[in-house]
Amino acid sequence: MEQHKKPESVQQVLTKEQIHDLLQVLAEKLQQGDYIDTAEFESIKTGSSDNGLQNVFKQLMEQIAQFDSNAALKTIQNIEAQLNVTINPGQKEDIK
Amino acid sequence: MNEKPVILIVDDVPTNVQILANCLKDNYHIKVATDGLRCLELVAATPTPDLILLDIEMPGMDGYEVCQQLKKNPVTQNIPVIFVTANDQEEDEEKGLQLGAVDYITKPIRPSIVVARVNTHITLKLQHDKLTAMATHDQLTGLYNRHYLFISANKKIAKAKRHHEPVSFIMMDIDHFKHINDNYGHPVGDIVLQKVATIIEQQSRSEDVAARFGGEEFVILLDHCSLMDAQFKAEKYRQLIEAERPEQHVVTCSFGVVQMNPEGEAIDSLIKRADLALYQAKENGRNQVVIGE
Repeated sequence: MEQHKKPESVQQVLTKEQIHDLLQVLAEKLQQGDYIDTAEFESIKTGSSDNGLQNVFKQLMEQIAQFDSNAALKTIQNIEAQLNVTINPGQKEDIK
Repeated sequence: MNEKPVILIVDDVPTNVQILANCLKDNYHIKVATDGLRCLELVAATPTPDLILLDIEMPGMDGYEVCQQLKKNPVTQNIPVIFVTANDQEEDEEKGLQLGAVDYITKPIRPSIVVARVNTHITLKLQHDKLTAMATHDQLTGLYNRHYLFISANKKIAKAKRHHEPVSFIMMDIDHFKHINDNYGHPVGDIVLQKVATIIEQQSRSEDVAARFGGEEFVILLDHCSLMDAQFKAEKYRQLIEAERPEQHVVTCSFGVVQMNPEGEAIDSLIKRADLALYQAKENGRNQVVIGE
Protein backbone atom coordinates (compact mmCIF):
# COMPACT_ATOMS: atom_id res chain seq x y z
CA MET A 1 0.00 0.00 0.00
CA GLU A 2 1.34 3.38 -0.97
CA GLN A 3 2.22 5.43 2.11
CA HIS A 4 1.57 9.12 2.04
CA LYS A 5 4.43 11.24 3.39
CA LYS A 6 3.52 14.40 5.25
CA PRO A 7 5.05 17.58 3.88
CA GLU A 8 7.51 19.03 6.38
CA SER A 9 5.45 22.04 7.42
CA VAL A 10 1.70 21.98 7.86
CA GLN A 11 1.54 25.66 6.93
CA GLN A 12 3.38 25.09 3.70
CA VAL A 13 1.66 26.09 0.50
CA LEU A 14 1.73 23.06 -1.75
CA THR A 15 2.70 23.06 -5.37
CA LYS A 16 0.21 22.00 -8.00
CA GLU A 17 2.11 18.73 -8.36
CA GLN A 18 2.01 18.05 -4.60
CA ILE A 19 -1.72 18.75 -4.49
CA HIS A 20 -2.23 16.52 -7.49
CA ASP A 21 -0.31 13.68 -5.83
CA LEU A 22 -2.25 14.03 -2.57
CA LEU A 23 -5.59 14.09 -4.36
CA GLN A 24 -4.61 11.06 -6.39
CA VAL A 25 -3.78 9.09 -3.24
CA LEU A 26 -7.07 10.17 -1.67
CA ALA A 27 -9.14 9.32 -4.75
CA GLU A 28 -7.55 5.87 -4.94
CA LYS A 29 -8.21 5.19 -1.26
CA LEU A 30 -11.80 6.40 -1.54
CA GLN A 31 -12.51 4.18 -4.52
CA GLN A 32 -10.97 1.16 -2.82
CA GLY A 33 -12.87 1.79 0.41
CA ASP A 34 -9.65 2.27 2.40
CA TYR A 35 -9.89 4.00 5.74
CA ILE A 36 -8.32 7.45 5.52
CA ASP A 37 -6.77 8.94 8.61
CA THR A 38 -7.50 12.63 7.97
CA ALA A 39 -4.71 13.63 10.37
CA GLU A 40 -2.24 12.36 7.78
CA PHE A 41 -3.63 14.77 5.22
CA GLU A 42 -3.89 17.91 7.38
CA SER A 43 -1.41 19.72 5.15
CA ILE A 44 -3.91 19.88 2.33
CA LYS A 45 -6.23 22.16 4.32
CA THR A 46 -3.68 24.95 4.16
CA GLY A 47 -2.17 23.71 0.94
CA SER A 48 -3.39 26.57 -1.22
CA SER A 49 -2.99 30.35 -0.92
CA ASP A 50 -6.38 30.64 -2.58
CA ASN A 51 -9.07 31.01 0.11
CA GLY A 52 -11.77 29.50 -2.08
CA LEU A 53 -9.67 26.44 -2.72
CA GLN A 54 -8.74 26.16 0.97
CA ASN A 55 -12.42 25.99 1.80
CA VAL A 56 -12.95 23.24 -0.75
CA PHE A 57 -10.02 21.31 0.75
CA LYS A 58 -11.56 21.68 4.23
CA GLN A 59 -14.89 20.49 2.87
CA LEU A 60 -13.13 17.49 1.33
CA MET A 61 -11.53 16.56 4.65
CA GLU A 62 -14.90 16.83 6.40
CA GLN A 63 -16.53 14.56 3.82
CA ILE A 64 -13.73 12.04 4.28
CA ALA A 65 -14.08 12.21 8.07
CA GLN A 66 -17.80 11.48 7.64
CA PHE A 67 -16.96 8.52 5.30
CA ASP A 68 -19.02 10.14 2.57
CA SER A 69 -16.93 8.71 -0.25
CA ASN A 70 -19.22 9.72 -3.10
CA ALA A 71 -19.32 13.35 -2.03
CA ALA A 72 -15.56 13.35 -1.46
CA LEU A 73 -14.90 11.94 -4.93
CA LYS A 74 -17.13 14.63 -6.43
CA THR A 75 -15.23 17.30 -4.52
CA ILE A 76 -11.97 15.91 -5.87
CA GLN A 77 -13.41 16.18 -9.36
CA ASN A 78 -14.28 19.82 -8.68
CA ILE A 79 -10.77 20.55 -7.45
CA GLU A 80 -9.45 18.77 -10.49
CA ALA A 81 -11.42 21.14 -12.70
CA GLN A 82 -10.30 24.21 -10.76
CA LEU A 83 -6.65 23.25 -10.84
CA ASN A 84 -6.80 21.88 -14.37
CA VAL A 85 -5.27 18.54 -13.37
CA THR A 86 -6.53 15.04 -14.03
CA ILE A 87 -6.86 12.63 -11.13
CA ASN A 88 -6.84 9.04 -12.25
CA PRO A 89 -6.64 6.71 -9.27
CA GLY A 90 -3.81 4.23 -9.77
CA GLN A 91 -1.95 6.36 -12.32
CA LYS A 92 0.75 8.97 -12.05
CA GLU A 93 1.94 11.85 -14.24
CA ASP A 94 -1.40 13.34 -15.09
CA ILE A 95 -0.60 17.00 -14.74
CA LYS A 96 -1.99 18.75 -17.80
CA MET B 1 2.12 -4.88 -1.34
CA ASN B 2 -0.19 -4.96 1.64
CA GLU B 3 0.66 -7.65 4.16
CA LYS B 4 -1.50 -6.63 7.09
CA PRO B 5 -4.73 -8.60 7.49
CA VAL B 6 -7.66 -6.66 6.06
CA ILE B 7 -10.62 -5.70 8.24
CA LEU B 8 -13.79 -4.27 6.74
CA ILE B 9 -15.80 -2.06 9.09
CA VAL B 10 -19.44 -1.70 8.10
CA ASP B 11 -21.39 0.92 10.04
CA ASP B 12 -23.49 3.90 9.00
CA VAL B 13 -22.48 6.01 12.01
CA PRO B 14 -19.15 7.80 11.39
CA THR B 15 -18.29 8.00 15.10
CA ASN B 16 -18.53 4.22 15.45
CA VAL B 17 -16.35 3.66 12.39
CA GLN B 18 -13.83 6.12 13.75
CA ILE B 19 -13.66 4.40 17.17
CA LEU B 20 -13.22 0.96 15.59
CA ALA B 21 -10.68 2.19 13.04
CA ASN B 22 -8.66 4.00 15.69
CA CYS B 23 -8.20 0.90 17.79
CA LEU B 24 -7.38 -1.39 14.86
CA LYS B 25 -5.55 0.73 12.28
CA ASP B 26 -2.04 0.14 13.63
CA ASN B 27 -2.19 -3.62 13.12
CA TYR B 28 -4.67 -4.01 10.31
CA HIS B 29 -5.45 -2.63 6.89
CA ILE B 30 -8.85 -1.02 7.42
CA LYS B 31 -11.57 -0.70 4.84
CA VAL B 32 -14.85 1.07 5.45
CA ALA B 33 -18.39 0.73 4.13
CA THR B 34 -21.31 2.77 5.41
CA ASP B 35 -24.03 0.53 4.01
CA GLY B 36 -24.68 -3.09 3.11
CA LEU B 37 -24.39 -2.73 -0.65
CA ARG B 38 -21.01 -1.05 -0.44
CA CYS B 39 -19.92 -3.84 1.92
CA LEU B 40 -20.79 -6.49 -0.68
CA GLU B 41 -19.02 -4.42 -3.34
CA LEU B 42 -15.81 -4.21 -1.30
CA VAL B 43 -15.91 -7.89 -0.42
CA ALA B 44 -15.96 -8.74 -4.11
CA ALA B 45 -12.85 -6.62 -4.73
CA THR B 46 -9.26 -7.43 -3.81
CA PRO B 47 -7.81 -7.64 -1.28
CA THR B 48 -10.62 -9.72 0.18
CA PRO B 49 -11.24 -8.85 3.83
CA ASP B 50 -9.97 -11.30 6.44
CA LEU B 51 -12.71 -10.23 8.83
CA ILE B 52 -15.84 -8.06 8.76
CA LEU B 53 -17.12 -5.97 11.66
CA LEU B 54 -20.78 -5.56 10.80
CA ASP B 55 -23.40 -3.27 12.26
CA ILE B 56 -26.99 -4.54 12.20
CA GLU B 57 -29.17 -1.44 12.11
CA MET B 58 -28.33 0.29 8.85
CA PRO B 59 -30.48 2.06 6.27
CA GLY B 60 -31.37 -0.14 3.30
CA MET B 61 -29.93 -3.62 3.65
CA ASP B 62 -29.47 -4.44 7.36
CA GLY B 63 -26.56 -6.36 8.82
CA TYR B 64 -28.47 -9.65 9.05
CA GLU B 65 -29.23 -9.53 5.34
CA VAL B 66 -25.63 -8.64 4.50
CA CYS B 67 -24.46 -11.59 6.57
CA GLN B 68 -26.90 -13.90 4.78
CA GLN B 69 -25.63 -12.72 1.40
CA LEU B 70 -22.03 -13.28 2.47
CA LYS B 71 -22.72 -16.79 3.76
CA LYS B 72 -24.63 -17.75 0.60
CA ASN B 73 -21.71 -16.91 -1.66
CA PRO B 74 -19.00 -19.64 -1.79
CA VAL B 75 -16.34 -16.98 -2.35
CA THR B 76 -17.21 -15.00 0.79
CA GLN B 77 -18.76 -17.58 3.10
CA ASN B 78 -15.51 -18.21 4.96
CA ILE B 79 -14.88 -14.59 5.86
CA PRO B 80 -15.53 -14.32 9.59
CA VAL B 81 -18.23 -11.81 10.52
CA ILE B 82 -18.47 -10.17 13.92
CA PHE B 83 -21.63 -8.23 14.60
CA VAL B 84 -21.00 -4.94 16.42
CA THR B 85 -24.39 -3.63 17.38
CA ALA B 86 -26.58 -1.80 19.84
CA ASN B 87 -29.08 -4.70 19.71
CA ASP B 88 -28.37 -6.35 23.03
CA GLN B 89 -31.29 -8.76 23.35
CA GLU B 90 -30.58 -12.46 23.64
CA GLU B 91 -32.66 -13.25 20.54
CA ASP B 92 -30.73 -10.70 18.46
CA GLU B 93 -27.45 -12.32 19.41
CA GLU B 94 -28.86 -15.79 18.79
CA LYS B 95 -30.08 -14.74 15.34
CA GLY B 96 -26.70 -13.22 14.47
CA LEU B 97 -24.80 -16.33 15.49
CA GLN B 98 -27.28 -18.60 13.71
CA LEU B 99 -26.70 -16.64 10.51
CA GLY B 100 -23.05 -17.63 10.71
CA ALA B 101 -21.36 -14.79 12.58
CA VAL B 102 -18.37 -15.91 14.65
CA ASP B 103 -18.95 -13.38 17.40
CA TYR B 104 -21.34 -10.71 18.64
CA ILE B 105 -20.21 -7.51 20.32
CA THR B 106 -22.66 -5.06 21.83
CA LYS B 107 -22.30 -1.29 21.85
CA PRO B 108 -21.11 0.92 23.42
CA ILE B 109 -17.84 -0.14 21.86
CA ARG B 110 -15.14 -1.08 24.32
CA PRO B 111 -11.95 -0.83 22.25
CA SER B 112 -9.88 -3.30 24.28
CA ILE B 113 -12.59 -5.97 23.97
CA VAL B 114 -12.96 -5.37 20.25
CA VAL B 115 -9.19 -5.60 19.73
CA ALA B 116 -8.94 -8.81 21.77
CA ARG B 117 -11.79 -10.50 19.92
CA VAL B 118 -10.63 -9.33 16.52
CA ASN B 119 -7.10 -10.58 17.22
CA THR B 120 -8.44 -14.01 18.17
CA HIS B 121 -10.61 -14.35 15.09
CA ILE B 122 -7.92 -13.06 12.75
CA THR B 123 -5.49 -15.63 14.17
CA LEU B 124 -8.04 -18.39 13.59
CA LYS B 125 -8.80 -17.12 10.07
CA LEU B 126 -5.14 -17.00 9.06
CA GLN B 127 -4.57 -20.49 10.46
CA HIS B 128 -7.59 -21.73 8.54
CA ASP B 129 -6.26 -20.14 5.32
CA LYS B 130 -2.89 -21.78 5.87
CA LEU B 131 -4.43 -25.21 6.45
CA THR B 132 -6.64 -24.82 3.38
CA ALA B 133 -3.62 -23.91 1.26
CA MET B 134 -1.71 -26.91 2.63
CA ALA B 135 -4.62 -29.22 1.90
CA THR B 136 -5.02 -28.07 -1.69
CA HIS B 137 -1.47 -27.33 -2.82
CA ASP B 138 1.66 -29.33 -3.43
CA GLN B 139 4.27 -28.19 -0.92
CA LEU B 140 7.28 -28.52 -3.20
CA THR B 141 5.99 -26.85 -6.36
CA GLY B 142 3.17 -24.64 -5.08
CA LEU B 143 0.84 -26.01 -7.75
CA TYR B 144 -2.50 -27.51 -6.81
CA ASN B 145 -2.41 -31.09 -5.60
CA ARG B 146 -4.29 -34.15 -6.82
CA HIS B 147 -6.95 -33.73 -4.15
CA TYR B 148 -7.83 -30.24 -5.37
CA LEU B 149 -7.79 -31.37 -8.99
CA PHE B 150 -10.56 -33.86 -8.35
CA ILE B 151 -12.65 -31.37 -6.33
CA SER B 152 -12.43 -28.62 -8.94
CA ALA B 153 -12.57 -30.90 -12.01
CA ASN B 154 -16.00 -32.24 -11.13
CA LYS B 155 -17.39 -28.71 -10.82
CA LYS B 156 -15.72 -27.46 -14.00
CA ILE B 157 -16.78 -30.47 -16.05
CA ALA B 158 -20.39 -30.21 -14.87
CA LYS B 159 -20.44 -26.50 -15.72
CA ALA B 160 -18.88 -27.05 -19.15
CA LYS B 161 -21.39 -29.78 -19.94
CA ARG B 162 -24.28 -27.53 -18.91
CA HIS B 163 -23.07 -24.64 -21.08
CA HIS B 164 -21.76 -26.81 -23.95
CA GLU B 165 -18.25 -25.43 -23.54
CA PRO B 166 -15.07 -27.30 -24.44
CA VAL B 167 -12.79 -28.61 -21.70
CA SER B 168 -9.35 -29.98 -22.46
CA PHE B 169 -6.88 -31.85 -20.34
CA ILE B 170 -3.11 -32.09 -20.56
CA MET B 171 -1.07 -34.74 -18.78
CA MET B 172 2.69 -34.37 -18.84
CA ASP B 173 5.64 -36.23 -17.46
CA ILE B 174 9.29 -35.22 -17.13
CA ASP B 175 11.41 -37.50 -19.35
CA HIS B 176 14.05 -39.67 -17.62
CA PHE B 177 13.41 -38.01 -14.27
CA LYS B 178 14.79 -41.01 -12.42
CA HIS B 179 18.06 -40.47 -14.26
CA ILE B 180 18.20 -36.87 -12.97
CA ASN B 181 17.57 -37.97 -9.38
CA ASP B 182 20.01 -40.91 -9.57
CA ASN B 183 22.83 -38.97 -11.21
CA TYR B 184 22.56 -35.50 -9.73
CA GLY B 185 20.72 -36.14 -6.47
CA HIS B 186 17.24 -35.41 -5.17
CA PRO B 187 17.90 -31.71 -4.44
CA VAL B 188 18.57 -31.20 -8.16
CA GLY B 189 15.47 -33.29 -8.94
CA ASP B 190 13.47 -30.98 -6.70
CA ILE B 191 14.80 -27.90 -8.50
CA VAL B 192 13.82 -29.45 -11.83
CA LEU B 193 10.30 -30.07 -10.54
CA GLN B 194 10.06 -26.51 -9.28
CA LYS B 195 11.32 -25.03 -12.57
CA VAL B 196 8.85 -27.08 -14.59
CA ALA B 197 6.04 -26.08 -12.21
CA THR B 198 7.00 -22.41 -12.52
CA ILE B 199 6.74 -22.59 -16.31
CA ILE B 200 3.35 -24.28 -16.06
CA GLU B 201 2.16 -21.68 -13.56
CA GLN B 202 3.41 -18.73 -15.60
CA GLN B 203 1.79 -19.99 -18.78
CA SER B 204 -1.53 -20.90 -17.21
CA ARG B 205 -4.63 -18.73 -17.13
CA SER B 206 -6.16 -17.98 -13.76
CA GLU B 207 -9.09 -20.31 -14.51
CA ASP B 208 -6.84 -23.28 -15.39
CA VAL B 209 -6.20 -25.93 -12.77
CA ALA B 210 -2.54 -26.87 -12.93
CA ALA B 211 -1.68 -29.65 -10.50
CA ARG B 212 1.18 -31.93 -9.57
CA PHE B 213 -0.40 -35.30 -10.14
CA GLY B 214 2.33 -37.62 -8.98
CA GLY B 215 6.13 -37.68 -8.62
CA GLU B 216 7.17 -36.05 -11.90
CA GLU B 217 3.75 -35.95 -13.47
CA PHE B 218 1.67 -32.80 -13.91
CA VAL B 219 -1.80 -32.15 -15.27
CA ILE B 220 -3.58 -29.04 -16.50
CA LEU B 221 -7.36 -28.83 -16.77
CA LEU B 222 -8.35 -26.12 -19.21
CA ASP B 223 -11.93 -24.97 -19.40
CA HIS B 224 -13.15 -22.93 -22.41
CA CYS B 225 -10.32 -24.55 -24.35
CA SER B 226 -10.56 -26.54 -27.58
CA LEU B 227 -8.34 -29.51 -28.36
CA MET B 228 -6.38 -27.45 -30.88
CA ASP B 229 -5.72 -24.68 -28.35
CA ALA B 230 -4.70 -27.25 -25.74
CA GLN B 231 -2.30 -28.86 -28.20
CA PHE B 232 -0.82 -25.42 -28.95
CA LYS B 233 -0.47 -24.77 -25.24
CA ALA B 234 1.19 -28.12 -24.57
CA GLU B 235 3.64 -27.48 -27.39
CA LYS B 236 4.48 -24.13 -25.84
CA TYR B 237 5.12 -25.77 -22.44
CA ARG B 238 7.31 -28.36 -24.16
CA GLN B 239 9.45 -25.75 -25.89
CA LEU B 240 9.81 -23.54 -22.81
CA ILE B 241 10.78 -26.47 -20.58
CA GLU B 242 13.36 -27.69 -23.09
CA ALA B 243 14.85 -24.19 -23.28
CA GLU B 244 14.92 -23.72 -19.48
CA ARG B 245 17.92 -26.00 -18.70
CA PRO B 246 17.55 -26.04 -14.91
CA GLU B 247 20.93 -26.46 -13.19
CA GLN B 248 22.49 -26.66 -16.68
CA HIS B 249 20.70 -29.94 -17.46
CA VAL B 250 18.56 -30.54 -20.51
CA VAL B 251 15.09 -31.39 -19.27
CA THR B 252 12.28 -32.46 -21.57
CA CYS B 253 8.69 -33.51 -21.08
CA SER B 254 6.19 -35.70 -22.91
CA PHE B 255 2.55 -34.70 -23.21
CA GLY B 256 -0.83 -36.34 -23.70
CA VAL B 257 -3.70 -34.03 -24.64
CA VAL B 258 -7.42 -34.82 -24.79
CA GLN B 259 -10.70 -32.95 -24.99
CA MET B 260 -13.75 -33.79 -22.94
CA ASN B 261 -16.46 -35.70 -24.73
CA PRO B 262 -19.21 -33.10 -25.54
CA GLU B 263 -21.82 -35.29 -23.78
CA GLY B 264 -19.77 -35.03 -20.61
CA GLU B 265 -17.07 -37.22 -19.19
CA ALA B 266 -15.79 -38.03 -15.73
CA ILE B 267 -12.36 -36.78 -14.73
CA ASP B 268 -11.18 -40.39 -14.33
CA SER B 269 -11.93 -41.02 -17.99
CA LEU B 270 -10.09 -37.86 -19.09
CA ILE B 271 -7.09 -38.90 -17.04
CA LYS B 272 -7.14 -42.39 -18.51
CA ARG B 273 -7.26 -41.12 -22.11
CA ALA B 274 -4.61 -38.47 -21.52
CA ASP B 275 -2.42 -41.07 -19.85
CA LEU B 276 -2.68 -43.31 -22.91
CA ALA B 277 -1.68 -40.40 -25.16
CA LEU B 278 1.19 -39.61 -22.83
CA TYR B 279 2.31 -43.24 -22.98
CA GLN B 280 2.23 -42.97 -26.77
CA ALA B 281 4.42 -39.83 -26.61
CA LYS B 282 6.95 -41.76 -24.53
CA GLU B 283 6.84 -44.70 -26.92
CA ASN B 284 7.38 -42.38 -29.89
CA GLY B 285 10.65 -41.13 -28.45
CA ARG B 286 9.61 -38.61 -25.73
CA ASN B 287 9.79 -34.78 -25.77
CA GLN B 288 6.63 -34.46 -27.82
CA VAL B 289 2.90 -33.81 -27.68
CA VAL B 290 0.42 -36.53 -28.63
CA ILE B 291 -3.30 -35.96 -29.07
CA GLY B 292 -5.40 -38.68 -27.47
CA GLU B 293 -8.29 -40.61 -28.94
